[in-house]
Amino acid sequence: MSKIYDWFEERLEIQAIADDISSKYVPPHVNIFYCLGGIVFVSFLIQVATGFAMTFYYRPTVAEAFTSVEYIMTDVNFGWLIRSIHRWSASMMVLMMILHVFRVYLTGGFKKPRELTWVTGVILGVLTVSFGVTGYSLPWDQIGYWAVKIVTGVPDAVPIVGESIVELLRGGVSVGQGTLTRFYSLHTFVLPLLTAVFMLMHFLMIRKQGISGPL
Amino acid sequence: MKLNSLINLIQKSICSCTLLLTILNIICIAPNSSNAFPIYAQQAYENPREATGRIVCANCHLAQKPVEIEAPQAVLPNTVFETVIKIPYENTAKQILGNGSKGGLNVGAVVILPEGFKLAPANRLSPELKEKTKNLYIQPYSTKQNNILVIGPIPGDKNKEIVFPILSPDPAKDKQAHFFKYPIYVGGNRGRGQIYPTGDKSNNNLISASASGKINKIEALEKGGFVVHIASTKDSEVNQNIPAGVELKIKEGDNVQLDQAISKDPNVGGFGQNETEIVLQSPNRIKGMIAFFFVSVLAQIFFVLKKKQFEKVQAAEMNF
Repeated sequence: MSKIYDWFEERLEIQAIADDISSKYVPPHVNIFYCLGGIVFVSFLIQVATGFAMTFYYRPTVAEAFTSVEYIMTDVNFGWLIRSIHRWSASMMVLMMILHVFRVYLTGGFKKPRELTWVTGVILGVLTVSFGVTGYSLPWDQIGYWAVKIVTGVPDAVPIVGESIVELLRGGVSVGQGTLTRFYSLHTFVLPLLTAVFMLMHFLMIRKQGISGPL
Repeated sequence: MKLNSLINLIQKSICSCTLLLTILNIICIAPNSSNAFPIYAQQAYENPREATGRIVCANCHLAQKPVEIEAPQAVLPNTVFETVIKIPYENTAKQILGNGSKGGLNVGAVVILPEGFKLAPANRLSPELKEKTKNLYIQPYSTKQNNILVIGPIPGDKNKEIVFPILSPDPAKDKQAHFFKYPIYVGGNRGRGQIYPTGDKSNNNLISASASGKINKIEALEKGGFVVHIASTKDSEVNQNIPAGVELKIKEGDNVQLDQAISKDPNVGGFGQNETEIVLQSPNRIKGMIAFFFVSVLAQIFFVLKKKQFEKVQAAEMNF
């Protein structure tokens, strides 16, 4: 064991990382509400794990999306559990994120020098909601179809560029296969990548600056 | 004892006679009296719910009226449960009958259950459920589709709420059934329809003028009904027959336009459809969830206790 440790220590100085992790103390003013951000992160990890599992069976085509979701829910071993966890954990993530924003706001965690943490947090909030919107329509059931139709129609109200934005979102003039493909790509590739990047920034800044002070 | 058994026998035979008569009535007599008829739909449509989601009853019962459904949020497999269809209308409402006289409204309903769900057999019903459904003759829509149930026409004054006893499938025995959330679609109707399957209009309709012109004469017929003589513009007279029981809105000397309504709308009924969702729930999943919640709460409690204990140790060490 110590040989392996030495090998890594020699090349990567892992002792420094270990010291950094173990040297941080939790200040006494930290209460249970400071857990909310961590819960959001755990929810995200659950989403990644269950979502990844579902990509094995889900088919992002208008003809097969609904039946493949039905297949996950009925025939796949524990598919119902995986998808139900994904569904519930998604709501949990949004809820916990909102509560986390309240906590940060009420304890003044956004004040100097932590403005950038707040900014990345807001971006993460937008990304989380985007996850929700894109994921909602993936089963391509009645509720998902009409949700995507309404949501992608919203930018139409913007003058001049509105119509182009709608077309960009839908991948065509009307909602169809193009829209589903786009939403699937956003939900499983673009958004996770962006979220990971911004989460890393969020966490590194917190590590660097420490938990905000008492009230 | 002998007397008792004799009475019993008589009761039984009366019962079976009534049942036979009811069935005969439904098969033979009723269609002629032109009431609201699921049988028309059963003859004409393989599936009562069209691809657009419309239930075919609406093709003949043209007015739209509300219908409500009450079903449990979730049911366990192989369980009998009840679904209540509410078809509200005012008690005082009277409709025009086929022969022109006024009478009470009949009601009818169709319940489209998920596949695998079916009408509960009589021997599975609880005494209360038996009591609630004793006068109801519910049948499957067709031999192929026993998950679709129809009832009607039955007198509406006592049956504004129709109880359907339903048996849920068991995924352990039936490989087609799954633990899942399913939709239930219902349609409910009160009153007679406006169109026969042949395309003919019933007398439960607004009558419109068959020509433009002045009404020369309204002739009341002996057996009920009227003949309206309309002088069309070219000096010729158009005679329009009005069936019995219709209340005219026009009088002699009035001018009417083609297709102008000349009678009051006699239709007091209407059809409505609604839908709800039901979960076929696995008992094991419920048990698993309760166990998971229990373990989670226990773990959290132990975390808190451990923290309190650790805080005591910290406090003790500081005092040294």
